Amino acid sequence: MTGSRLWTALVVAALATSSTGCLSSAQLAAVRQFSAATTAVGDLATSEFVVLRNETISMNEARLTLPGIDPGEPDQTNLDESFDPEDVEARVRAAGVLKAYGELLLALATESQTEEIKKASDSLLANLSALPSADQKLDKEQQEALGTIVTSIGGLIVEFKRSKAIRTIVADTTPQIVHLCDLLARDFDPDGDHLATGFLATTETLKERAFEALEAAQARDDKVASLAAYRAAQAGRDKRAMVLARASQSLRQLRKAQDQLKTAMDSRKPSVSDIKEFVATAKALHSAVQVLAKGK
Amino acid sequence: MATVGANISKTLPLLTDLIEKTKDKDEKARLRALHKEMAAKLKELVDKNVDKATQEYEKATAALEDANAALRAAREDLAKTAKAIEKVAKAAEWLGKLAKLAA
Repeated sequence: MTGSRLWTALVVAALATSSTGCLSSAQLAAVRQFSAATTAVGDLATSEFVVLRNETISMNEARLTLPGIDPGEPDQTNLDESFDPEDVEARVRAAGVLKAYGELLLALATESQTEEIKKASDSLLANLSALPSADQKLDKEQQEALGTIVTSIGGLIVEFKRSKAIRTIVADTTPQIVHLCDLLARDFDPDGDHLATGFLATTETLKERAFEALEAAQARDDKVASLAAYRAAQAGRDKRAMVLARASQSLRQLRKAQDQLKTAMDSRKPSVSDIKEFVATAKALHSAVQVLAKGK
Repeated sequence: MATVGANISKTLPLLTDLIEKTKDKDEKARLRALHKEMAAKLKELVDKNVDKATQEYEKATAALEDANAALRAAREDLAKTAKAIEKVAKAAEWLGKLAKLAA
């Protein structure tokens, strides 16, 4: 049996026999893996939105420098196109909630210092309250209740309280986390009709216009500028299409893992199949995030 | 279920690739005009609420599927470019109707 399979078997066995209400050390290990992946997905989503906006501006600037480009193309007053600062900020806040949620779960599963847990809890609450109202799935009362859960742990971290806090936070935040995963996965989906699709349209437009300019270019400088723009668009097409598809897939896996974690936490004695499903998804998510981080 | 987004995200790269392969000047000019039109319509639809339960959505999706198949065929055999142009023009027409409905 490989180390990975042994770990999975131990987690499943330990979780399935847990009936005290406390999370076993193996159960905490699964939560830690999920939490770390959630934090990483939140981080990647945050940086990716900023990268997409910067690259959109950069591609439109490159198009402006092409010889023979029509006046008004692209619109110099709208170089960021769909990536308006307020829209990007809303997405970054959504990704910030995922990151803060992962950090809080991780702190609860690993930290013995209440200050650290409180800090992570405050960060989640701050990120939640900064979400646009349309994306808030927890009202003020529910958000305050979340803060109370962590405060009630008190100065002494005992396993029962730790377990109870994790269970309650997972249960209470699931509608919010699932909503944000759906929202961000949709944005990154290169086959959807949201931000990623707009980005790909910008890439294709630059590629086509640069090719046209290259065909018509006579002067050496024009040829150099056109070729550089063409290469930038081609690289953008290759790299971003791959990163966007993976980011979207990771967010869908995160949503699935959150649902499975909630199912597993809802039950004092989760079924073996519930736990197996969660462990498998958490592992797939962890691997996907590692690949995504390397591909950036 | 096939969606407009899933199809149009393939249409634009296929159009770009065909423009680069096509030698005929008239066909190239027509493809370029369609590329501009499709990119503009796509940007109009980005981040908008599009009702998927409309005839326009269904027709636009089907027209894009036809256009993509025709573009792939033309990429393999440039003699089929005129047919691809016809199909893409039809898809652009339906996308225009859909864009008008988008909130």
